[in-house]
Amino acid sequence: MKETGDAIYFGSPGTGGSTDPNCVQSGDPTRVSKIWIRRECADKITLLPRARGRVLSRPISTQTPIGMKPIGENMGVIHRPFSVWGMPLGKTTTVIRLSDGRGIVQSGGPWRDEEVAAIREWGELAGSMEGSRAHDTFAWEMPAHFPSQRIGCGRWSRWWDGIHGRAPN
Amino acid sequence: MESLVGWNSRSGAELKVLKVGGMPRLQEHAVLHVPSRTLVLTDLVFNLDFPDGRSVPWPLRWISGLNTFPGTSRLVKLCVKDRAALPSLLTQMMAWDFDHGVVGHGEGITQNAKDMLRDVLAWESAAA
Repeated sequence: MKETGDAIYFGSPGTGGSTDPNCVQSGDPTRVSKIWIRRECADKITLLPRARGRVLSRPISTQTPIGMKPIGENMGVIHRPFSVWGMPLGKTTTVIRLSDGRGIVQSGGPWRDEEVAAIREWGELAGSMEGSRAHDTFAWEMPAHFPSQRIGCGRWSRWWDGIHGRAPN
Repeated sequence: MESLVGWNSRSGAELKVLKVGGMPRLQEHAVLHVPSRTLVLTDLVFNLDFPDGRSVPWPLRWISGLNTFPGTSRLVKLCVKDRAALPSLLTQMMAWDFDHGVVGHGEGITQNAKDMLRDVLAWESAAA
């Protein structure tokens, strides 16, 4: 486990984020968003399946679709872009580090592998986040939206993953 | 899942959490990060990125009921079960001090978030 001080995703406002050499910057530099991801994490994450039944599953490269975007010193977002039939939908997960070292992760469900990986990475780096494991991180999650047991969003997600050869969540 | 009951007292002045009532299916919570003056919402507001001149695709217009962003999706509005609970929510939220906004879908709002969200969420007051 790394020390809390190694939580590298957060930069000061206006600085453009982390300067840690273990991070790579990605995304469109003309956009406000600057997406960061730990270099050693990049090989573990694959792109999401896209619309029209095609799977774009490949290691993250400079077109990193997911990572941490710093917002202030103790806050960042994980933006997972995806589009459905040309609609640029996406999902943003917000992580906040409190001054006492605890963390809160705010997002709607269902969670996917990429988000789990990114949050876990952040949680481990945060160190003093309670438990420092993904499940504990999720313990701070806001109640999931559209719980799969109730309206089947998770079922569709699993179906989508299944036909694309992905492991279920 | 960690209960959010008592979260406000546990996190001190650093974080404020407000459950968005009236929409039990969504279980949306508004979170204010006080040090950064940032309001975090999940599905209450969408702010998809459509540059000027690029129209919103019709399937998205039809599904969301939105021609421009930010806005509240038609699907979210359909989840409202208790319309009377919404205006007080908006009042409490607007009493918070924030200037930035992060939404679950789309771009973050980097300035004047309170004014923007007040306009976007005016439907809540009208719904009562």
